[in-house]
Order: sequence, then structure tokens, then C-alpha cells
Amino acid sequence: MQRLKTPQEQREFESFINALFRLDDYDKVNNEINNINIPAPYRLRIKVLYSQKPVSDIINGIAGKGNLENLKTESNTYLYKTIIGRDTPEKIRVPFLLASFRENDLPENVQAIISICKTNQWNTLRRFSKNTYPRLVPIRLSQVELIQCAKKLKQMTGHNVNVKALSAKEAFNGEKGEHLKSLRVWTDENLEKALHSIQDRHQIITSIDIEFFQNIGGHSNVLPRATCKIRKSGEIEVTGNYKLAFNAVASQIAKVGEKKLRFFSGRGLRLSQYEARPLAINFIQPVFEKVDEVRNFVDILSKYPRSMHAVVHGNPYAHVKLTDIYDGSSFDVWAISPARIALMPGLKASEAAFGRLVQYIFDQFKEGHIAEYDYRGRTLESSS
Amino acid sequence: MTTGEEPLKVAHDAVNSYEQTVNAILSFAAFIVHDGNNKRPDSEFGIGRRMTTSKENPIASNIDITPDIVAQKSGKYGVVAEVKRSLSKNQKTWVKHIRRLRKYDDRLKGWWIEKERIPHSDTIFLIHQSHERLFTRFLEAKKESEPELVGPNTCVVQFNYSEERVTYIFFRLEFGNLHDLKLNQRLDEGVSIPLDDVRISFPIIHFYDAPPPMPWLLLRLWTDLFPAMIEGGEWDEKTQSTKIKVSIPEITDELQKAFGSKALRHDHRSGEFPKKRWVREALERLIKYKFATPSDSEDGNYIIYYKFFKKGDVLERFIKLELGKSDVRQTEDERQLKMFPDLVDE
Repeated sequence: MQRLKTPQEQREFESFINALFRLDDYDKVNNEINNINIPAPYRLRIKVLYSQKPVSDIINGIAGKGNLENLKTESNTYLYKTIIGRDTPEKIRVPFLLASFRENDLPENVQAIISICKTNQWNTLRRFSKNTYPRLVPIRLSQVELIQCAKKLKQMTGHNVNVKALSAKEAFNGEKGEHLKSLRVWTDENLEKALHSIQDRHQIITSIDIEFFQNIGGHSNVLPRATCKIRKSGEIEVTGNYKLAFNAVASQIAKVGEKKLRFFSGRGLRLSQYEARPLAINFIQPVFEKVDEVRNFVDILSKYPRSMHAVVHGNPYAHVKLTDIYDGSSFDVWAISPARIALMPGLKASEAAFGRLVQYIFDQFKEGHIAEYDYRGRTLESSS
Repeated sequence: MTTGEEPLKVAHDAVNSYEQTVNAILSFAAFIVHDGNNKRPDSEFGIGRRMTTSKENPIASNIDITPDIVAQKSGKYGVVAEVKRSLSKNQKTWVKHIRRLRKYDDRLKGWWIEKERIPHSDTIFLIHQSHERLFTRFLEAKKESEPELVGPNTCVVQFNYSEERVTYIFFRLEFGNLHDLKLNQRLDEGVSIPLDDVRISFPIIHFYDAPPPMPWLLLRLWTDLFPAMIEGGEWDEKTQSTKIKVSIPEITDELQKAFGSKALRHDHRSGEFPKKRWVREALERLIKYKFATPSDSEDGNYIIYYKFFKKGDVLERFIKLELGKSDVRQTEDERQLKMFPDLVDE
């Protein structure tokens, strides 16, 4: 990949990108994004977002106020402007396209921000998205969902899919007990083999880089058509064929995320007319066999960011009350069964708050399977 | 444990005790009305249900009573039960429990059948294992010395929490016999009900018809109800908080629908909890702690000055505020909400 070395080259490239995002037709912008060669340190980046209303309504409601402005209304393009750095302030201007998944039969309340930018520019867009939470909710993937997304790509695209690299965390025994170490692994294994190896080593993946190779009559091209780095935060970095990445990877993330957040929605007691609609996180193996494990879980919940907490009971079972400070959603979290956590929504429980809490438990405690907390136990996977 | 920590632990235990009593009530009711797989035909239960004594009642005839549990197994058999997680150390006060049981041991009116009287019923004192043995001995002695004080259908069942791999509530019959032979046999052998099953059946019931420890009610208001009302509030620059106008009837109604009596099947005899006076008391406490004021318009409403408590445990915070009270454990007034209702003589 070519690299732009001088500031002059970078300025010229950014002017070109700006012109692209100012095209007056949504399809033209999309086509041109697909046609350009993107030099380093620039990358094509996608972030999938969810909202209770169409995402474009939220973005348009913000545009014109503060740092966000419309570039071309008819193209769904915007410009985000800000200044970063205190000692040497740097002006940042990042254009982006708000893309819908209409062609993938997904509703407008899940859309994606697409930009061609450097890492520091992308980070400002990330902060913008973070500051609009919970109006805009990032799609967060569990490890299982990330792996399922990757698995489906081969069958969806008809391409051979290889894992190029992955970032993960792996437990190791240090002098002061068990710790997690971050690691970046490069490989050229096919997907199935790589996934087996991840499972064998009990690695916790944070991102996975996959390559798509055209396959004709059982013969695979040696050069990939696209390379995608998929993060658990629902972000994708694309090299090569953008449309392939968008239609295969981004739409799959949008589909999984939309289904999950829809499963979490309408569970607050006020919205459900005071009918309890609790959820469970089920584990294949028991996770609360020892009191220490219950204590550890209570400790993790007590540190839940941006929340109020109250430990009602911590031993031998756990009952912790959590209130999400972002939007006032509340939950009673119970650990009363060796292989299950129960999440009882309070009077208000938004899907965003449910999603944030579940992801926190997955990341900080252990990943499990989401289901209804009742005798039927309908799972998220089996929901329509 | 230091001396300073002990009142905190006692107060926390009181909250746990209340929650465990709620769990015991729900699981015992479930034991009567469910056969393990399904709800039994014609079965019903109520917490604090208003029942009426007969004219032959030896303690008080033709009056309304509100047992903690009324559970109807079928159109022919049911139980009324009074639940005690803890008892006063002063055994002289136990007589009133026995008199209450005697009052309940009657052909009560108020069952879920035509004419509201059931052919067979038993009266159960559901008591925590730690106090059961002494109480049963006391009851047996009373039966000897004052036979008329113990009714013919009175039983004692102990309950306890397991601390094993699976958390469950254990029940065992310790005194008397139930008319229903199957239930009698099972209770005589001992029955374990997983807490998980109880919470699957009743995920959101957090109150019964006895006043909760004040921190428990304040916790529910501060972490659940008021956060859900923030959107309708008004930001107050001066106090850096959200002003939320609340009325006692509205709050009480919402708590009942979400976590209390109205979350269960409801009819004209159903008990109502949490009660308005508990809520009023809680709001008065918030005024005392400078989290609320009476509304200016003298409409009986209150203004909550709401802030999220970003640091520390909210329950502990309310317990500590309550411990600042000097008269917490001295009050004998049953009508007043006490901080530790189970630890104070009724």
C-alpha cells in the first residue's frame, strides 16, 4: 500500500476526499468510495450505530449545532470539525457518509458512519459518537457474535476467508496471580482453523483481521479482494473492495446488533405495562460454585462505569442494584444459580442500557448466552 | 469488626432479612399453588389479603384480618400463614403471636370460591430456623397450660436458606399436621425450593404487607423510581440537581404496580403494599436529608432534588443517614415505619 509522506500530499488527498463527500448524489458517493485507492495513513472506516428513531433523524437533529454540519443533504454526507491537543492544537475536519442498510432489508434505526480518514481523525468521530450516547448506540459484539459474523462471510460472499491477524487477551500466571496479557497474532490460517485455535487457547478476541479471496472453480486468487479488521466495538477498517466489506461485513454486524438491541427493547416496567420481562445470561459451565466467584462478580458490578450501585446481598448469592447514569435505566442483577445471571429491568430499562450492561458483564466477568429469564428460556439466537 | 461497623451490619442484615422474608413468602405460596410443573386448578394466593373471622372466633369475631400469606391449593383446601424472620428475645411478647395464630385458626371468609368459605384450612406460623425450636417449645408449653390458646389447625413450619451450591429455601413442618396429606408428607420430610425458581415466577416483587426497613424503600425510590422520572423533571442550576415533583398517591400506585401488591392478582380483598404512609414517611426522610422539600403550592406534593450518587454504595449511604437518627430502635409505635421492623417488638 502506498503511503503519503509529506503534509502537502496529505492536504491534497484530504481535499480530494472532501470533494468526494460533497458529490450531490448518495449513489455517486458510494460508487466513488468503492473506486478509490486509499493510501496510508488513511483508511476506510465504518462504524455501525443504532437508535430508537432513524439514525439520520438524530444526526440531522445535531447537524448545524456545534461541531457537526451537513455537507450535502441529498447525499447524507456531513462534516465534523473540532480541535484536538492542548499544547499544539490541531484542527480536525472529518467528512463522513451516513449509509443505510435498506438494500440489506434492515430498518433505518441502524445505519453506519463511513469515513476515509487517519486514526486521530477517526478518534474524534468516535468521541462524537460516544457523546451522543444513548441517543446513538454503538453496536457492540460479543466474541461469539464476532466469530459468527466471520463464519457467515464465507458462505455469504462465496469467497475464501482467511484470518490475517487477530488482537486478543490471554490469561497467564504471573508472580502475583493470573493476569490478562494483550497479544497481536499474525497468521494465514483459514477461518475454521483459526477459530479452533482461539477456542483452544481460551483467548478473548478484541479484533479480527480477515481477508477475502476470490474463488473460481475451487481455485483461489493469491491477492485478496478486501481485507477487513472487525472490532468488537462494531467498527470495521477496510482495505480493498469497499462494497464487498459493506454488504458482507457491515451489514452482518448491523443485522446481529439490531436483532440484539430489539431483543433488549421494551423491557422497562413502565413500557411493558408493569409486566416483568427479565433476561438471563446463561453459562454452559457453572460460574458461581465458590463464594469467591460470587464476590468477584459483585466486585465487578460495583465498578460498573457511569452507574449507581447498591449491594443488597453478596454472599452466598448476589443481588446488586444498578442504575445507569446515562439515562436512568435500572436493573436488579441476581446471581442465585450456579450457571446463570438474572437481569431484572426496573421501571425504565432502555435497550442501550441493557446492551451496555450485558457487554460489560461479558467483557469483565464471562461471556454467556442471552435468553429470557423464564421457564421457556427463549434465546436471543432463536428470536426473530 | 469495629464498634462503628456493627450498627451498619445490623442495619444491612435488617434489609437482607426483609428481602429473605419476601422470598420465603413467595416460595411458600408457590409451594401451595404449584405442583412443580403447573399452577394447580382453582389455586390462588395473596399477600396481606383481607380475610374475615367467623362469629365463633375466640379472639375477635367478625373482624377483618390480614395474614401475610393466604394460599388456596384448591376449592377445598387452603392455608393462612404468618411469617417471622426474627423474634424478640423477650418471650413474654411471643404470646401475642400465639393469640394472632389463634385468631387466624378459624373458618375465615375471603377465599377465592363462591361464598368465600373453604371446607378445610390450616394456620401456619412460618418462622426462621434460628428461632423455630424455642418458639415451638414455648407453643407446646402454652398448649399444655392454656389449651384454648392454641387452635386445632395450627402448625409451625421452619424455613432456612441453604448456603450450598444452589441457593434454595428449605421448609419443614415442626409442629402440628396439615389437613392435606400430600402437603403434610412433603413438609414433614422437608421441601427445598430453589430461589432461582421463585425469582423466575415473581421477578419483581420486593415488598410484602409489613413495613420495610427505611433504607430499603429509599433505595427503591432513589435508584429506580426517581431516575425513571428525570425526563419530566426540571434542571435546577442553584442546587445542580433535577427537580422532580411527586405525589404520594402516584408514587405509591407505581410502586404497588411495579414491585408490590398490584404486580400480583388483585381483587377487592387484596392487600395493598407498599402503603401510602410508608411512602409519606420515606419522603419526609428525604426532606430531613435535604433531598426534597414540600411543594410550594401546598398541594401535599413534594419536590425531589435528584442527583445520581456516583460514588459509594447507595444502600450503605441511606443506612448511614438513618443511623444518624437517635430514636431508631426505641420506637414502639407499630404504625410508624421503623428502620428495623423485625428487630423491634410488635
